[in-house]
Parts: sequence; C-alpha cells; structure tokens
Amino acid sequence: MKKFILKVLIFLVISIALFCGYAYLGGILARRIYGMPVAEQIDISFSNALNRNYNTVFLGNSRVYHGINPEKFSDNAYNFAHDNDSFNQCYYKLKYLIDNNIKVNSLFLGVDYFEFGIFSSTRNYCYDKYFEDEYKLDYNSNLFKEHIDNYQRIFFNHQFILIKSLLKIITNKGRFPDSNSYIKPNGQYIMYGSKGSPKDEVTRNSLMLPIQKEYFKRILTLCRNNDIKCVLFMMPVRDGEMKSYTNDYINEFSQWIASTIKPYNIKYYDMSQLDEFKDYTLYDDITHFNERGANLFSSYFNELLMAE
Amino acid sequence: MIFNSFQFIWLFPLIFVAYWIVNRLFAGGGRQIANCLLLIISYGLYAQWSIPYTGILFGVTVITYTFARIIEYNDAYGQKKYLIFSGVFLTLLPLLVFKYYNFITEAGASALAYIGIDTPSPGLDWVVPLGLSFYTFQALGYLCDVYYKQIKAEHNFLDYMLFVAFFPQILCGPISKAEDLLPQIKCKSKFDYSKGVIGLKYLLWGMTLKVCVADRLGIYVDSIYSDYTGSSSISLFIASIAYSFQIYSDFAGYSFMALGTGKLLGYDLIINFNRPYISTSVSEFWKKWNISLTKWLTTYVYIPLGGNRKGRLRMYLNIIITFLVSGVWHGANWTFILWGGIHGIAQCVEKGLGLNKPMKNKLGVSIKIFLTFLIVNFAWIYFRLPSISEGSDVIMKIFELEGSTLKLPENENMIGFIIALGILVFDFLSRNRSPLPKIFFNNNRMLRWSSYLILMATILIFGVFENSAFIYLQF
Repeated sequence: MKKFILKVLIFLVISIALFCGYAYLGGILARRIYGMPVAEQIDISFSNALNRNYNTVFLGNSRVYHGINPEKFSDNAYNFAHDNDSFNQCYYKLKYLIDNNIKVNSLFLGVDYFEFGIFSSTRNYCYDKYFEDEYKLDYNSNLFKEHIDNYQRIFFNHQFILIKSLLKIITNKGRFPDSNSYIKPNGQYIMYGSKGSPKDEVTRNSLMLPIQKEYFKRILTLCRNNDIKCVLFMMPVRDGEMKSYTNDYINEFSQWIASTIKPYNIKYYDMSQLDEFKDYTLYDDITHFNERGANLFSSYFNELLMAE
Repeated sequence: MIFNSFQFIWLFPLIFVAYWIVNRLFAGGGRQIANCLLLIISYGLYAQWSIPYTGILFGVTVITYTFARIIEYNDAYGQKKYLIFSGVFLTLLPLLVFKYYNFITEAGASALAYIGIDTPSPGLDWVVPLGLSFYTFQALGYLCDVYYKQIKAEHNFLDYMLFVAFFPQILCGPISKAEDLLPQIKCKSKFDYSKGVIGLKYLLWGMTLKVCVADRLGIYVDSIYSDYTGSSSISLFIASIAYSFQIYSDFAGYSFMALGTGKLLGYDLIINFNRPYISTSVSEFWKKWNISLTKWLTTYVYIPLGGNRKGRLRMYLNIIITFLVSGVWHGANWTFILWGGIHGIAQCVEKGLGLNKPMKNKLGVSIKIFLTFLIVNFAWIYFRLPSISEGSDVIMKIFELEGSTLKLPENENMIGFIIALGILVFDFLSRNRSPLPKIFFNNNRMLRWSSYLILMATILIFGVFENSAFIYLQF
C-alpha cells in the first residue's frame, strides 16, 4: 500500500510539475501575444479607480470597457467598466468607490439589451477581494465550491495557452504581434489582434432577470442618496446583434427603463441605432469598438453632452 | 459522482484511503464495516444528486431482495411463477413510470387519433432517475437468477444494498451479475498492489478516451448536427463517423473508469468494451460493445424466448425481439427502437447468409470490418438524432452528395480534434488482448512511465472538462 501511494504521488508530482512548466511558459508567451491577463486588468482597474482624480465614472459591460475613451470627455472621467459586468457588479463597484471615499459627481451607466439577462460569475475570482460578502451571497455559493471553481477556471485558462500562443506565432510568420492588448490608465481597454467583419453576428438572450432589475434600481437609489448625477446611455449596436432582439422585447425593455428612471429624473441616451457607427471597420468584433471607433464614439457622445 | 468531474479528483482519493484504513483497522469484522462505509458513500453520492430519487433506488433494492427471499422459500411452481411476475413487474414499475409513461401514452393517443378518437395524453415532467435502467436491470438479473436457481438468495440485506448501489457502476454500468459481484462483496478485501496499478491504468485510459476523444469529437458532432440542413454531405458523413467514435469513447471511457475505480477498491467488474469497431459482423460487434448488457439480454430475454432451440425462423424472431428490447432499454423514443431493429435485422441477415463465420483472408476480413462499421455507423445516426424523420433526412443528405464544403473544427478545437484522432489511431495500433494499450504492459519501465505521463499531459492540456456529462447517463 505504501509503495502504491508513493508511486502515485511521484506520478502526480511529475505530472503537475510538467503542467505547471507548460502553463508558465504559456503564460509568458501569451502575455507577449495576447496582452494582459484578466486578473491583472481588474487589479489595475481597481487600483487606478482609487488613485486617479476624476469627477465622472463610467460603468457597464465590455462594450463600455472597450468603447469609452475618457480622454475624449470634457469632464475628468474614469472608465471603471469590465467584460461581463452587469448591474450587480456595477452596483458593487459604485459602492466600492463610495466606501473608499472617492467622490464622483456623475455616473454614466451603460445599458444594453442583453445586460439584464446576464448574471455572470466568471470574474468573481478577481472581484472576491474587492466586493463585500453580500455580493457573493447572490451566487448562493459556498467558499469551498468557489475555491474549486477558481482552480478549475485557472486550469481551463491555462490548458491551450502555450499551443494557442505558438500557433499564433506560426500564423504570424514567426513574429510576435506588433502591439499587445492593454488597459489604459484611464480604465479603457485597448484590444489588438481582432478585426470586425461585415458578416459578424451574435445571438443574445432577450431576457430581463429580476435580480438585475433590482440592482439597476439600487444603483439609481445609491446615486440619489449620495448626490451623484446618474446618466444612462446605450452604445451603438450592430445589425448582426440587433436581429437577436424582437420588437416586443425592445418595447418591453424601453418601457421598463422609461418607467423606472422617471421618478429619479434621469437622462437616457439611446445611441444604439446611430448610422454613423454602423461601419464594421470601427469594430474589433460584433460587439466592441476598436481604438478608432472608441475615440470617434467618445468624441460624438461628448459633443452631444456639451450641446445640451 | 461523475468520473471526469473535479469532485471525483479530490473525493475519490479520500474514499480510497478511508476504505483501506477501515479494512486494515478492523481486521476481524473489517469487511462489514468497510462495506457499510462503501454503502454510505454510494447512497450519499446518489443522494447528492437527488434525495427523493434515492428512495426509488432503495425501493427497487427492497423489492428484489424481498421477492428473491420469498421465491427461494416457495418451491411450488405455480406460486413461484406468480411471484416472479409480480417481482419483475414491481421492479420495472419505476422504469415504466419515469422512462416510458410519456412515450406509451403519447403512442397510445397517436394510435387512437389515427382511428379518429382524440384523447389527451397528460405527460409527466419528471426527470428520469440517474442510472435507473442500469440498477433496475442489475437487480432484475439477480431476481431471475434466484428464480432459475442459478444462485441462492442473498440474506444479508446490507451486502445486497451494496450490490445494487455500488457507486462506480450505478450510473452507467457495467451491469454486474450477482454471481460475480456478490461473492466479492462478501469476501474480505486486502489491498492488492498489482490490481491497484491496473485500476489506475484503466482510470487513465478511460479518462483519456472520455475527455480527450469523446468530448472533443462531441463539440464537432454537435456543431454539424445542430445545423444538419445547412451542412454538406461530406460534413454529415464525417460527423456521423465522429459520433460513432464519440459514443464509443464516451461509454467505454466511463466503463474503464468504473472498472479502474472498482479495482482500486478491490473489486473486479466486467470488462464492458473491447475495441468493438474491429468486428467482422454485427454479431461480433455486440460481443465487444456493452458486453454486460449483451450478456444480460442474452440470459434474460433471448434464451427464455427460446434462443436458437426452436428452429431458424423462431431464432430470427428472438434476435429481433431481443434487439428491440435493447432499443427500448436505451430510451423511450422510436429512434432507439429503430436502432435496435436495424441491429437485430442485420444479425438475422448475417446468420441467414452465413456472413458471421470467421474468415482467414485478410482483405476479406478488412472489407467485413469496414462494412460492419458502416452498418453500425448509420444506425448510430438514428440513435443520435431526436426523431426518425431527422435521422432519415441526415442519411438521405449524405447520399445526395450535396455541397462540397467540409466544415472542420475551428481554432483549439481543431488541435484537440487532431489529438483525438491520434489517440484513436494509437488505440487501433496497440491492439491487445486487454482493452488497454499494449505500451501499458511494456517491460521497459521508462517507456511505460513515459506513456502514462504523455497521456496525463494530453488529458491536462487537451481534455474537455466543461459541460461534459456521459451520454449513457441519460439511459
């Protein structure tokens, strides 16, 4: 029995060591090819959110994270959005700023047709250390399962990393890409390595989860209680995505937003159908603006705000 | 507990250590205590999925245990017959209700509608208990064995409970015979080093087949079949072949892991698969595919029907009935019945034309293996798709030779796909008496260990671990 357990342990130690070596090498290569890992992006985002001076904060999902360049706004602004965020994450981010005595005058909250239908836990392994326990309670998770899930996620992230990176170098004729994706000090994420195409499509859920509706209202209340001016905006949505939503759903969504924000006297900018932002060359993919698209849109939005 | 889950990775070592410590600590009465531990673990793992459905598992156990004991004490033929019918009916009742109720009522309503009588068919939206078909058949086999006096009825209820609920095999088999498993439960276990090593080899190979082959091919198969109307003939044909290997790797992978887990706990379960696609006839295929189910159907359906003892025509009929039962066992859908029917008819044709006899000519053997694979492959199409019409559409589309675009997996799936094919070729080339690769038994330790490490690395790097339940869990 002892011999058996010893041999199994030797086998496991060698296997794990080999995999760790593989993942380590993959990590180094992937950073050079794909840019900054998610956990590091989030750490930088939170750190800069506390250390920079700004009056306006942008919150929302990846559309905002990639597509809003705070430099283009007249007011000092910071982009505190992140991929897969929905209203529950936005609420706790705003609360995080308030609890850390960061005084903001305005909140620009990005809304999306599919954002109410998302209840993502994919970034919880990073948000754990920033958000209070109340956040985790919504996920009905226990600590042990969370740890297991985190290890699983880290494992999945590293599985193909080296091979994918090597393939990327091979397809790039043996060269590393010229630029890496990165997060700017103002919180905007710049992505490289992907280009939009006229054929881009995506299927989205037409769904409004009660929990996200509740968090949406809590954000508005939190703003009112802390004298923060809240502005809602919807960024441009390409046709390949719009066809996911039925007219009935869009009406239901719009009516719900209108009736919910009415008592709070909040302005809502629906820019989802602006013709000048239909051009696929402004995008990295079906959803996200590229750097040029983000600059154009941010300038447009700023001009719109200034005009009013 | 599913073998390819993270839960298994951290929980099984604890079970393994606890089980052998208990066996060692209680040298005298250790067997009963270790069995109790295994029983608690088996029921606990089942209850983790659903506590109410654990009652069904217990109910089937109580019914078969009780009827076997009563049958043993009743020698009067008429009474015994009545008892066995009642026992079989009560054992099958959960299966009939959970798995077949909707199918039977819908089929009945359709038949009545055909003659102009409209009747509502109120369906039940109950989930089928996990492993129901497997443990019901195992318990039923035991009851029939007692009836036919093949074995004596088990008197120790706890041992019998463990026989039905033994966790490595409860979800997807293999369906063990009482004469094989009960004596092992009753005898004192002592850790056997070589058995433990073989167990690990089965676990490693089973895991490789499941996560590197089955689930990787599954991604491709799903992408093609979910849009079969828009897929070309060649893509559909490749997807059908990929599905044949997906279902093999999935089920064989599970069975090997069950076998390995059993061996690590000192139990020898039946080898359920032995490279079934290298078969020169459909009859031979069934001697290598889901061997425990084939044995069960032969013993408790084919032979009681008369087998080959009542003339040729009756034999053909018995084969077809047996395979229709096999189809129904797999699922309450006409697709499974048709799938069973195809296998039954194919075997009748083989027997009628004498095609199932062994050949020495290598070319002839290769052609027969290829043709057998094609029959099995096309039958799997009905098994995979939700309706006969969709299955027929896919087959028609394959033969229409429409479109020439071959849709291939993309990005990392392509790499995983190539690795999966590599593993299948490796399996084919390392044919052996054992279902495990030959290299696992090489005398050169370095070579052997290198093969284990390479497979482990392949699992870690190329394995699919997300959303990958075993196909046979649904049965």
